[in-house]
Amino acid sequence: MIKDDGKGLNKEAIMKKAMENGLGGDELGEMTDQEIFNLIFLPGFSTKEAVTEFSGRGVGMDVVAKNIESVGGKILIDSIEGKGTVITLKIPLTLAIMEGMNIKVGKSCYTLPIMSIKESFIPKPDEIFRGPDNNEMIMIRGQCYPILRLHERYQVKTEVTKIDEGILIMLEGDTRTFCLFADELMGEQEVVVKTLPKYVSRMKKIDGLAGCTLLGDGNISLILDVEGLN
Amino acid sequence: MPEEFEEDEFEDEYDEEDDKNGGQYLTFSVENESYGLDIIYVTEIIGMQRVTEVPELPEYVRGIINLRGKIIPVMDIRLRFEKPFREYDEKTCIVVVEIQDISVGIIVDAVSEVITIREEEIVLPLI
Repeated sequence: MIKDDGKGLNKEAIMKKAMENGLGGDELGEMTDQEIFNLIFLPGFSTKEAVTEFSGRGVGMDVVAKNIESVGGKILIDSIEGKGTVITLKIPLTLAIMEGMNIKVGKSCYTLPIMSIKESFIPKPDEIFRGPDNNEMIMIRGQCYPILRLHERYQVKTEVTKIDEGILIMLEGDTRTFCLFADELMGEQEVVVKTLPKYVSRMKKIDGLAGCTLLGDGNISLILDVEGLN
Repeated sequence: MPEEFEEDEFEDEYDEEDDKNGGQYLTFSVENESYGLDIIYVTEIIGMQRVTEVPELPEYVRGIINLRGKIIPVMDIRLRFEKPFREYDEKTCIVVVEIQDISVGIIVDAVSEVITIREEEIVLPLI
């Protein structure tokens, strides 16, 4: 909700401009206040006499309304002349759903965004070698990828430490592609993304964690951020 | 004609005497010591449940729990007070407190009772 205590929307000016743009006087007479305010979202609608660097072309509000509607939301305006204007943006929660792949490391569950997963496979011990910084790497179809062991990165206790007992998931980040080593894949699931509690995010920004989600059995799965893990 | 409730009726039930008698504190025990917490901060008390570990946090923050759909961080008060860690048993409880819109669960050895302590009886710490 965006509020201000400015001079509010001028109904007369809006109606006058609408008539100039071709809307009949009868229709305007029957419109409710809400409908008159919504006229400002029409493309090319502006009550400004002179065009400045930022406004006056009649484009801004139209773009805002279109973008909000494209994600399935609504925009509402209310205004009292001389008192101020309140603009309410309603955005559906479905934006917070993502396709995830649940993985397990020890007793902890994590969720990876499916979009970032290129492939997953069980590696053979002889495919693994050490790179120049003594970090594990794997060669797939002529390309070298670094391996990130999730249990080492996050200090998670797990029985699965041998490379051929777990699974490698190739993840594509913005900067580079790497392979994540986890115990097992649990399955695909559409998950509702919840942010980590304020107490935690205020305490420390944890690289690699984008939030968390509740699984069907009531357990919490941490959502991994591929760029952050890099 | 519907009965009209006057605001005064409810105010009478709130006895000013309660305030003069002292604040109410929830007492809990940690390693032979008793602690009290003003109940205004306590939202609820729940039994110990499965805690999901969150990496890279201080040791006393054990992780997060799912409380009826709400994600709440929990901290072990023993570790926070730098006392030795003790395994959780059936008496271990999580006291959920809410301060400035932030909810945190505090893991305590055992919860005792709610007692009333008068202000005069409270001695400030020596430090």
